[in-house]
Amino acid sequence: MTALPVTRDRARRGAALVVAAAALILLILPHVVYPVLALDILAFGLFAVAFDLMFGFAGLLSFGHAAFWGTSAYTTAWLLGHGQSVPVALLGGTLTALVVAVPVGFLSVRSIGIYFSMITLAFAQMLSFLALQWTDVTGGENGLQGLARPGLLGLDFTNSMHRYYFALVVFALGCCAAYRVVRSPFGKTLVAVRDNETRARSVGYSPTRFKLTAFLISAALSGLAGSLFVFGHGVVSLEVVNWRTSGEVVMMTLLGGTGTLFGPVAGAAIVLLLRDVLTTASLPVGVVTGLVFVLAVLFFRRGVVGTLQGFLKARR
Amino acid sequence: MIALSARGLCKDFRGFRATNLVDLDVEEGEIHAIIGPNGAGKTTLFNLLSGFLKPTSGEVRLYDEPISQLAPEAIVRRGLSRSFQISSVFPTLSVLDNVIVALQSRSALPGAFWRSERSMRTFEPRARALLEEVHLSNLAHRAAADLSHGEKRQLEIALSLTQEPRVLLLDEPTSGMGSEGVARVIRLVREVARGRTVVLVEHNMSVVSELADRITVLQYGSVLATGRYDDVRRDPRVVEAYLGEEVA
Repeated sequence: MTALPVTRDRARRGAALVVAAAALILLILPHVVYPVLALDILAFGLFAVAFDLMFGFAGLLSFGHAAFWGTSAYTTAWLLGHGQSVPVALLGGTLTALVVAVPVGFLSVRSIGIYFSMITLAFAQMLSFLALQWTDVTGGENGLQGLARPGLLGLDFTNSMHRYYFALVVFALGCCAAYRVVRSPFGKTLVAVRDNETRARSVGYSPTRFKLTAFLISAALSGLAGSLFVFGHGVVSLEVVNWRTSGEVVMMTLLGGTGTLFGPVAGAAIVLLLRDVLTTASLPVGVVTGLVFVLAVLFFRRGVVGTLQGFLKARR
Repeated sequence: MIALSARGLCKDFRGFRATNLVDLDVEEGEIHAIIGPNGAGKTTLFNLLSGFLKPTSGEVRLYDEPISQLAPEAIVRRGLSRSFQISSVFPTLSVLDNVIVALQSRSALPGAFWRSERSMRTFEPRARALLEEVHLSNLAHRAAADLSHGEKRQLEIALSLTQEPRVLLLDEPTSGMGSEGVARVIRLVREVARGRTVVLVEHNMSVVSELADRITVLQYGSVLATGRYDDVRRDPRVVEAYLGEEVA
């Protein structure tokens, strides 16, 4: 915001170029990989972006973000199963995730560091247990299948391509929201609070209030992502509230680059494409993905996008 | 009128008494220095006065309103602002943004996650005026982390002024500075003290003698003496506390 005009314009042009390139890639993606996989990339990409609002910008590592992704997923599934339209189901899922995030956030943000991580994990596990037990609504271990996805504005949602492009619009809206939050007075202050909480308090800020607001926004966007996931697959199962999902989003974010806003989307793409390629080649997915992750943490601390950004900045 | 007072202030840390029955009265408009050997509990006292530590017993009053149980950010809003001994700034933000972020805390802007960050520019004129006051205008766009030690101290003071404090606590504002920096800070504190009450912790006796109206001497967490500088420095207990050093 207060950078010198020359660097600012160059940065703006560079950013516009990157956005255009990314848009192009996302537009042709379902023609390069299976549309269902492409939609998964969008869903997990948005999930990781939402997660990074907490981690990269508020500085809080949540181990239980599947709680919001999963709550929304189940709500979306339930709404679709009860004949609701897709937009209503997506909205319902997002709002439910937000509502659940209020008490979870309120109780969690007062803790810092590892304690915050453990509390969020605990809440996610509680929701996981609830999903297992509440078989009337969630289908328990079997989950819910064969969800209807009534068409919209001439789009036929039994067609995976149509689903993808609709999801792309929703994904873009979600990303715009994330961008706005980060590049707002709130986002700027959030970073200040994260960098120096003592100084922030001594100029009149309440850190808890900022962390809670960030938490709620992150949860809502995670919910939107989770509802996209169910919309894409037409089924929901216990995996959506599983701790492995919480762990996966952490990994995707770190691989892509925390604090880079959209690096996590790249991270999601890498993890999902890698998994697809490895499964097809019958290679051990967990081992290879894990290895990639370890190497990234050791040598590409700032993730793929973060490292690239650093490289470009140094060249300027 | 007493701007800031403490009565019977005590702070224990697991059996160690850092602050022992401290009574303090700071008159409105004065520059009051708190001095004492290392380990005397000066910064602990500042933490107690500004809400970063809660007293074990005793109370703190700001213009006769009790504040010891309030959170630091609430005390700031009541008009008491502090700077830190080790410069505490927002390292990733520019100098200008540091001040803008501090200035907007009283407005509704920080909560607005839907507005563009350009809306923060409304605070830019005031921020630049403050930077002018602390002589940092030419470094407005430098990242705070890249400032020199002395420049960071100047930013510290600017940040503590953003909250329009009636009472300003300055923790060793001249620490680590050469004679030129010290002279600059002395001038700055004198300007800043106009219309405000200033309490400063200082090691540098020439700064104290130049600025302070009254001083309080701390030793082992207790108040040893309090009063006008010329009277206190001749007090035999104070002289002994500094181990016979010439309290210049």
